[in-house]
Amino acid sequence: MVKFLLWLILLVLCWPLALLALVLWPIVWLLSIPFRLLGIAVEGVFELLRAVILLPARILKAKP
Amino acid sequence: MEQKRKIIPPVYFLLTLIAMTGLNFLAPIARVVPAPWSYAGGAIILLGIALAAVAAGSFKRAGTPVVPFEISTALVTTGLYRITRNPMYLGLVLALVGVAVLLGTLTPFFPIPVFVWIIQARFIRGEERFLEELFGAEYLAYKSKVRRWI
Repeated sequence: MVKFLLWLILLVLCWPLALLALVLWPIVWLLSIPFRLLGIAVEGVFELLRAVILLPARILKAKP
Repeated sequence: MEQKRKIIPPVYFLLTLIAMTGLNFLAPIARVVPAPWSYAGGAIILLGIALAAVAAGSFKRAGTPVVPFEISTALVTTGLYRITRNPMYLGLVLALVGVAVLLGTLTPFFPIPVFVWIIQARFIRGEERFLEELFGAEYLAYKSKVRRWI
């Protein structure tokens, strides 16, 4: 909804740009998929590293 | 009574692939991804195939059918299904993007949004309705957490 409202504002301010955005949006979305997957994979690796680094602290904390 | 044969997603995938290749040779318009950058398309194709294969493996392990229109027996929400609700379709789209990048011209990108629209309209929306009926609140909770594509 917010995206649509922003697009409507763009349509009022500069309609050629709004129409161009409408045409290019699916292509940009498609090209962004591999990068989004890469982002998720990198996030996963950092999450794993975080878990490994914090493992001793978590073990010590768990001891009564 | 003879059952009407339904077209499955790989058929649309092949038709899109044919359209993309045809456009590349008949009306390329412009080269948008020059070599050696276009070779990255090969990696994207492999990623797409891997995504679809891993997701299909999750379905097989859960003992639920992979083929659309067949009755699901389990709701798979783990593995790749934590990042997308449709990893198999996403894998197909990714493979098509990879082919377009590999071809490197502008027009092969155009049939892909049409493929996405067809898959969403003909398969995903129906499957969502069906899963909502079958799994109820469990599926609605999953649907609210994970996006349809990515």
